[in-house]
Amino acid sequence: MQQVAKQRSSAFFGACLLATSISAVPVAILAGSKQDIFEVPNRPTLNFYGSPGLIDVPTAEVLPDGQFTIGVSSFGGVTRSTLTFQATPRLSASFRYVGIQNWNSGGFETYRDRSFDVRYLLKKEGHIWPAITVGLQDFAGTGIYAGEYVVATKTFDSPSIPGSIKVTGGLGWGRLGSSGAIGSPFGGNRPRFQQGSTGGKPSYDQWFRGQASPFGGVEWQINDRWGVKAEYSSDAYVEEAVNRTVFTRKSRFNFGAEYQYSDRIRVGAYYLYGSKIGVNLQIQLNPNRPAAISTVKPTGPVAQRPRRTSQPDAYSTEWSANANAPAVLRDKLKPVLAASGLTLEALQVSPAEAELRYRNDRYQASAVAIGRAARAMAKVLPASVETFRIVTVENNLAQSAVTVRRSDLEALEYDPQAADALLAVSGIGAAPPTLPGAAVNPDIYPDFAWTLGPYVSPSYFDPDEPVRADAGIKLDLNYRPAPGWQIGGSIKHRLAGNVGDSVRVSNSRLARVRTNSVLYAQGSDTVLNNLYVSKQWKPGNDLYARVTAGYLERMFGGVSGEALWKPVGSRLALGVEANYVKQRDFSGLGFQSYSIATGHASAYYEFKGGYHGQVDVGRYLAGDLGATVTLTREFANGWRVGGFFTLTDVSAADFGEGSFDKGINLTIPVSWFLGTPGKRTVSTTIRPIQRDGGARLEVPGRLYEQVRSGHLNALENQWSRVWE
Amino acid sequence: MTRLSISLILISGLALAGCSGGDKRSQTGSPLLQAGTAVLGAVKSRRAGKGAVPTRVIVTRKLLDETPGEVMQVIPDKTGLQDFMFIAGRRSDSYPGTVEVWRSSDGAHLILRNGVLIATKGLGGDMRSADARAAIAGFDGRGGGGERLITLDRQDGSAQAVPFACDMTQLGRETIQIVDQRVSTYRVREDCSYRDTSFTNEYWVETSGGRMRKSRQWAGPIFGYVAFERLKN
Repeated sequence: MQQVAKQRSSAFFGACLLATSISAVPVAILAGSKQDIFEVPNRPTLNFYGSPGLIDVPTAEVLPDGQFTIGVSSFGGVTRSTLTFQATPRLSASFRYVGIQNWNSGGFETYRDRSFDVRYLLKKEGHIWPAITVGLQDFAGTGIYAGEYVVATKTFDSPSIPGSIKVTGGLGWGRLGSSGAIGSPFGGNRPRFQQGSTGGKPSYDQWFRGQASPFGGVEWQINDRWGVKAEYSSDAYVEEAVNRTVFTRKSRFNFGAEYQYSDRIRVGAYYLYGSKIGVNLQIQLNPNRPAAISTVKPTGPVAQRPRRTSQPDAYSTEWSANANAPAVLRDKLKPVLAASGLTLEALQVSPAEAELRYRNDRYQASAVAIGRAARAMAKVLPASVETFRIVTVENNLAQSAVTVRRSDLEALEYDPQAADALLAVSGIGAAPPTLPGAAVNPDIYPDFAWTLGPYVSPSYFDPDEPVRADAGIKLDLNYRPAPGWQIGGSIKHRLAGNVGDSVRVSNSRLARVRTNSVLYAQGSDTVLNNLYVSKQWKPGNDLYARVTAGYLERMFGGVSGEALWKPVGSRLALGVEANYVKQRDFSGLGFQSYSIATGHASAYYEFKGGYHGQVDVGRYLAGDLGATVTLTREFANGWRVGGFFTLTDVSAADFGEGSFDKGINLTIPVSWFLGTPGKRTVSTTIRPIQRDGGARLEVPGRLYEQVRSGHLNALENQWSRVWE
Repeated sequence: MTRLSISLILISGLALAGCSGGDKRSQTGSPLLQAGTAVLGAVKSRRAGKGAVPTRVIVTRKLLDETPGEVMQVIPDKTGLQDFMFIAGRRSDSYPGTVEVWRSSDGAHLILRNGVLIATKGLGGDMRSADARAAIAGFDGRGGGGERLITLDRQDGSAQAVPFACDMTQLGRETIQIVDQRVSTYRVREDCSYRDTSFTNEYWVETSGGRMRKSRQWAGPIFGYVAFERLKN
């Protein structure tokens, strides 16, 4: 199974919104309710599997909604690194990478594997009832950690004892039913763990089958810093301690002490299975609680016009008779917008109305930019202009038109519900593709931008070297000769790295569209990552289009066309993309012989509560036909955590290890760390394994993410920031 | 640590304002601005040696007289550090009271309606907006209270409108000292609660004219309480 365990974590551009947790979850249970601002959620501690738990067994506790945790534990040569995400108030998902030393079988000295878990809180803790959780561990892997459990946890706060005590009891199957079994409540036989199986598919036929064993324990959180744990484990460690000699297991009892180092970091030391010392590092983050408090430097209050009754002359429209008026106002408005980080693209004025088209390169929340633009207009435009139309333009794509009455702006700034009141009287509608007759900013085109910076390109899960990386410098070039036109390029020069040192060569039975990444890494130190020409425009009010040609990504070049339908007020968007690409040489600018027509029809949907779904149906790079399902949890501040899977007509045997393509996406806004406004994000995609089936072309500048940040749903979600 | 640094920014922003080249208004070179620089020095020493008591500027009549415009002293509980704010705008709308936008030395805004805090901007975890009607109605010496809807930044990109239930208690007349002035005031306490969260504001309203001279008010869960003192009208 471990022949090719190669994974590139690719920094997707904003467009590749693929995302969330377990995709099979019906939407009904996704509906999450927002936590009260004053509620301090109980934060459970993590076990050696990175799940809420004691030491090696789980508890029924639930993480705060949206919590993102990283757990790294080690004992007896077994090291587990786990990412866990509380995707909904009750449902969490984990992804784990394990290394087991002294395995010494199947050709592996150290056995490495990946696994996925899900947990669901069946019952919240009440006055009498404990919390009850059901969990599936390693439910889709090759099964080394396969196990299921139902567990209950009750918290006791006694005035006579400091801190709080949590008592846990549960019943485990599979691995968690391997020691001290009490029978097989749901019957059935359970196949043994088989090293070398393809794995990757949900093993639902095994869940809760075979022998079941009780487990349990106690956690005493003595004070804010210190806690101690003791547990009875039902895990026999058959593969490690019975069939092999990874470590010696002498007891079912484990003990440990933990220290809360900071709000986000907890460390623990333990004595496990009567023979081994273990350590556990627990890191917990919540996207809703930024690392740095976000601040935006305020702008002045809305400029007030004189009263019409006392100064009717101020409302004269004579100014509009001057043919230069639009250009003069444009030039006055430009620096005011620039002070807020906005770029004026065009201004159209009439005696009573004005439309501003501008670019926002500073604020992650479009609502902040709209509020700034409105106040800039109120500062500059003549008093007779009563209606403001504010259009955010993203690289020639007018996202939406927000219509605000100037008198509302003046009246509502200090309303008890200032943001809601303004939203109620603002119109958010479609923006026409262009604004004829406007005073255009002549300084925008041609526009040339470049950035030079370091890059790190990691590669995970090679059995010989779990984390490999290349690092070097990267030059990005971006030239915009005219609206919508873009010539983009990216050159990387590797200074150091070991991705190309891998000796694992592709054993794929499919066209090797992704599994030759080692050959690409070996190709040359200086590579042209991409170089393309693109043109994007709006064919209609709700239609967006893009054509791109060139070296689209490191492995493929060709032509790509895309069209997207996304009305401003619609939660649904539909798109099609067609590409004809040729595989690039491992080094240099040439092409190999493999070429393919690939493309997808896509549906995107913004569910309530910040959940986002995407389905792409079409033909993938290796010529396989199928669909990708992506579910993402999106936070208003720009965090995104998602999961995806792709099923195509390639059989599991032809696909190879993993059976089908799947993975997780993570996007974190840089402003979350810095607290200063900015649109930059860091993104990564982690696949348990990268194979050739279900592989999609990476095209720079896909439309959907360029469009929706200015649409109704995104604007409403962040409208509370409009007066910032 | 982050929160501390945010507050430091609020107070130490004098230096920032100096190089921003922005809206410096008429205070440039005012004695209190220079006084603030001394505060910045204190901030630095506080950073260096933990536990050092922040130095406060003793405001004198002379200093005030030399400072043009209106001046509000502000001291957030969280830092204990002192800053002086100047007025950036005054507005009337359809709600009772007059809105005053006060600008701190680093450009944060604290917005008061008849002295009652109704919004903060640029602090982080801001109070987005607030209903001041129930509080203002209670300054007439007859008690009162009612619902005060306060919208707070949740820091996740969204905000929550929290309906606080408030009670006003008249604590009688009190003469307070502001610089070299003795000011006769009504002292009023406002107790607000929402589920398990509560806060208590205190107001000192001039007996003649009804202007708020001094207060200690809650600015939301992140920033906490802020003490205001109107030094100069």
